[in-house]
Amino acid sequence: MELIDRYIYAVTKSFPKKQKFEIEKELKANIEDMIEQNKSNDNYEEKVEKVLLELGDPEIVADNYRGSKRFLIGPVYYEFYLMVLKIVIAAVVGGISIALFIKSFFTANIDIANIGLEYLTSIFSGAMQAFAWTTIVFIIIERNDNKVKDELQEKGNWDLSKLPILPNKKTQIPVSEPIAAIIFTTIFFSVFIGILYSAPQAFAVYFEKAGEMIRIPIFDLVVLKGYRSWFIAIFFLSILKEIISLYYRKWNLKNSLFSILIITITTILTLIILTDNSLWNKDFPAEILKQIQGGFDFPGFWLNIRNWIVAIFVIVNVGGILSIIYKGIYLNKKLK
Amino acid sequence: MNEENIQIVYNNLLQELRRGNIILSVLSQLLEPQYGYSLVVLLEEKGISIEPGTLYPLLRRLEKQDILESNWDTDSSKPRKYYSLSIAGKQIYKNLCTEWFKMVVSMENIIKDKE
Repeated sequence: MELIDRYIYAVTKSFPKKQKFEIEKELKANIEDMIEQNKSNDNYEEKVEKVLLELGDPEIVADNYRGSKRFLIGPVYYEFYLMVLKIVIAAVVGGISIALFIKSFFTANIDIANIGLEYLTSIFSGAMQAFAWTTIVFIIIERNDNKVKDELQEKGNWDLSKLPILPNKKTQIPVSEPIAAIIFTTIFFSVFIGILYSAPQAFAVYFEKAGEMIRIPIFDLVVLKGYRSWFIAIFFLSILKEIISLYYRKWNLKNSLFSILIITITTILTLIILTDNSLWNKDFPAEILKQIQGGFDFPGFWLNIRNWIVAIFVIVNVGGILSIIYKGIYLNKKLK
Repeated sequence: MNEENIQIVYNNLLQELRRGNIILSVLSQLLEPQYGYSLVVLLEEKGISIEPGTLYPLLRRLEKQDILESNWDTDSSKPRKYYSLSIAGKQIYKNLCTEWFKMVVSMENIIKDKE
């Protein structure tokens, strides 16, 4: 009987092979028994239908066999997931708005209808991306989260020594900190990446001469475009770091190690980009010199600026790492 | 709360109350081997109604916990999986029964006090 097979399939389809076979065999025997015991005057088909309806929704029966419900994102993380999702989507929408606003300044003959359409499609695809990536990250967390399962199992053997140490204010992370960082990072990167994709020529120095606008690009556009995926990687890593902080809400060992690792990676990636000589428009200093006139050594000054950018960037990030080492490793050890 | 909501809440609580007793009622009938459907009928006769869609998976889970043991009877025309209490299961069942009787006494006292 096809209905019976279809019902059994619906119950067992998500089980591993061995279990599947056993459940199939047993369920089939039980269903046949139930049909046989039905002594009413119904014909066979009607009996089958009654029995299957009595067994009820195959998904629920499957959950009963499993003994637990399955989740894409379970109740442990769901609230947190919603919070992060709202922040990320809001930040992406904000970032895209600013990016398009800036872009419209660099577009001659603004066509409101076109910009409006581009705005809507960008917002839509940006929000979808934000949704997809956030969800994927959480699905991975959910799948790998043995911590929650271990904790649940260990709940029985509890003693006083397992009480958590009262959080020290210095090692705590106020929720506002990672949220502000996520919003700032997302706005900055969506503006930056937005311009990078739609109007990379906008990264330039502008002079007005005799009513004419002169634009001197800072970067070599071809090389700059080649780094697009790097910037996106740096962006996602930075967001991931804040999400981890948002989850732990204190500088414990795990959070500290994650953060140090991510800062190290993003710093190295950024340094590779910044110190790539071909990235910078090689004609830039000469062109500027032409515009400003006078005996000022602009090329030397420009090289200094570039070196200072690198130096400040390194100092800020190394400082960040040192502060995490202090809070997350040194202070935590001392408090214990 | 309106009538309808009262009914919904009541049904949920009643279901929860019954759910707690399902395992004990199932174990009580498995001193002798039973297969899935015969157990449904047996419990029904004794006034405990349990949905087959709940019972069959429950038997399997109890077997996994080694409270029940099972045997495929392939002699008769149709193969059937018979379940009965394991040695550990019998001990657990006995202890649960002791608790049950204590609980009945306590509950009765508590409820009668308020009446």
